[in-house]
Amino acid sequence: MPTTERQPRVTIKDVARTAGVHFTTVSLALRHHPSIPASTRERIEAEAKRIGYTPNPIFGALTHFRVHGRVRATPPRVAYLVNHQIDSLPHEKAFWQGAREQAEMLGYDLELISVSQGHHDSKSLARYLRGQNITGIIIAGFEPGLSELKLDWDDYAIVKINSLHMEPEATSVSNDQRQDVRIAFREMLARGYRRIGLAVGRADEESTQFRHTAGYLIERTSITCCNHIPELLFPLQPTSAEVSALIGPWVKKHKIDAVLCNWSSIRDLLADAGLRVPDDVACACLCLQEENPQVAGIYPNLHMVGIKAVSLLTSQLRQGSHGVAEFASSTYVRSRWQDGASAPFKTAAVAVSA
Amino acid sequence: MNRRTNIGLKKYPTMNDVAAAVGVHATTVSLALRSHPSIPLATRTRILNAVREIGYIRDPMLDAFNYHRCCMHTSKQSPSIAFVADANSSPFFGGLSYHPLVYEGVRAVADPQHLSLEVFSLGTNGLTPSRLNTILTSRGITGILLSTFTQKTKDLELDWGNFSAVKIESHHLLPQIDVVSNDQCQAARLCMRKLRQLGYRRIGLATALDDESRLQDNFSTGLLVEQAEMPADEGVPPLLFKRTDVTEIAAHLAAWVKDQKVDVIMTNWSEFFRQAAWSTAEGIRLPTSPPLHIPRDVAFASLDAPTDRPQVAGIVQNHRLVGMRAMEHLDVLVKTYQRGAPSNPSGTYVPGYWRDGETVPRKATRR
Repeated sequence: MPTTERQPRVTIKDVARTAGVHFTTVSLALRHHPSIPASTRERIEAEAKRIGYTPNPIFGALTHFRVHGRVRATPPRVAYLVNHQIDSLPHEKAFWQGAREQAEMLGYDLELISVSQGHHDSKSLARYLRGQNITGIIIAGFEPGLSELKLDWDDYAIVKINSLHMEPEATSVSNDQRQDVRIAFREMLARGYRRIGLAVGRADEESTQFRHTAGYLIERTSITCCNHIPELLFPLQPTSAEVSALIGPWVKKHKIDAVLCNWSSIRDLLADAGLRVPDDVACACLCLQEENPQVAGIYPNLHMVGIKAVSLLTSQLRQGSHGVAEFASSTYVRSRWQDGASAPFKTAAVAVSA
Repeated sequence: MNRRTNIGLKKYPTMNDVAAAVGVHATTVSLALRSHPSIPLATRTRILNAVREIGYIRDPMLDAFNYHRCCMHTSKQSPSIAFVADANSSPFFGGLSYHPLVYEGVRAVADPQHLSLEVFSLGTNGLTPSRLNTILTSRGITGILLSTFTQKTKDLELDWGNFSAVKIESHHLLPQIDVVSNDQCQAARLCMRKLRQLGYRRIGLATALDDESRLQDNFSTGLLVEQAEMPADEGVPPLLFKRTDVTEIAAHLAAWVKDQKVDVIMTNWSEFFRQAAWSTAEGIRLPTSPPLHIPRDVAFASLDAPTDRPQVAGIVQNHRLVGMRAMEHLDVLVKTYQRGAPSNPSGTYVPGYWRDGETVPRKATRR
């Protein structure tokens, strides 16, 4: 049964009909067979382009299989695009690892490509992707303020990991930052903390449409408004020293007793600001990378985010859907809470000091 | 290059090679790779090791072809998907226990793949969860879509380990499994931005408390995020009401509009004007005393603009697309044997879009 969502694919027979030739002629012409006059070939090529015919890779593969007894010369490739070095960023690395494993499982070759200074710009990237016959891309964790991307989106099946501050509108995947903040806030409240502050990067907020902020604002409605604390947004691409210099005065000024922060080094950042954890201030990390008894917080499944990104991309490729999504859906993977020394129960601390 | 040189070259490894190496049948390899529950873990591990050693990888081209083929031909035995609805929710969907547009979207994905759908309405004709469990098990149905459930149904006791399931909307319903829903937070945010563009400054959100807990407070969250960007004196506190008699709610609504100087009501409730007809002269009259006229006294933007009321401006929710996404997601879970509650459940949100209407005229600029 035809659905309105899936346009029937334009086939070689459609080209033949509109060009007024037999479909085998079209096939030969598109392969530049010498038996087809150049003028006919050009006419057919123009017609194919006009009505949007592209060879169907599935049937291409099958034909290849029939002739050669093997399907795949090289596995089809998809690109994983980043605009900064991911080696130094454990959460970006976890996305990538999940994506790579899933691609391997599904038989795709996933290539990590950097779109940043000294690497590809949009123009050379488009050329490269075309040359490599790559039609599926994952725009993974593009950071606001760094290199941007401008491709002819219609040529690609697209999935994003975060990167919501930039075009195109596309299916996106991430960890559930809003729910993460909500869980962390409630856990801190249950431990007796009352002045809970949120400190996150501006880049992380812009690229997620303020999902940490959203979680914080809604949880805050459950407490008295004299304990509402303005959130701290780090500037774009801050250094650790800059963050420490901001976080110390913010904690002191607002008499914060618990900090929620998405940097995994939050404990060290507070220490660098001259604050003792948990004596002066407690903290919970919103994006823990590895089991660490010293730090309480949210343990997201970033691997799963990468896995889902590839699954969504390959299902788009399979269905032949390309370009900007009219209604791009977003998928968020839930995380779990992890206890740690940085956020003890407050009553216990009081009992010890008394 | 001479084509003939290819002949005689070793072909790339297939499932048969893996099967031969491990000493099992090729179909066992296939099942093991899809984590089928009938294959013991030890066997699966052995097979996966052999897969890695031999270098077998799935062929995405054949996979795509298979998908294509499944859409072209009816299989002899078409698997069923259970569409489980909640009889409690029927008052919200005009007597049906599910949203007709959601169901239509589900069908749009299921039909081309020849998946048949069976609707089960819990709570009618003595259909209890345990009875449902028996029916599904005996019919070999493993895929379940849980349609919009009301707050009254807190959890559903089935042998979840035997089923792949996706929830539609009902975030509150236990167990915690993957859920697909309209993006209510985006709906509220987009609606507020449109209203501000149209000149409104006192935007009031009115919604039912139980809607909010069912939908993870998403309307309020959207409101708060937008209010954070607005001048502080323009933030109207939302009206969160208990689900009682419509006239009683309307009375609260009228008082709140007056006290807070609300210039536009933003709500997911259409019940306010279900009975009242649209008249060109006076718009809609809300059943309050004194009556509140829309849009003369206050403008009205719906967060779930009804299709049968084109005068009503607001956000049109993509219920059909929600159904489609849910069915697509379930299909993957069923085919990869992902049964039971996942350790990290996910939520998928489908955005809505703005629709102009007479209930929200452009506001004359104050000067």
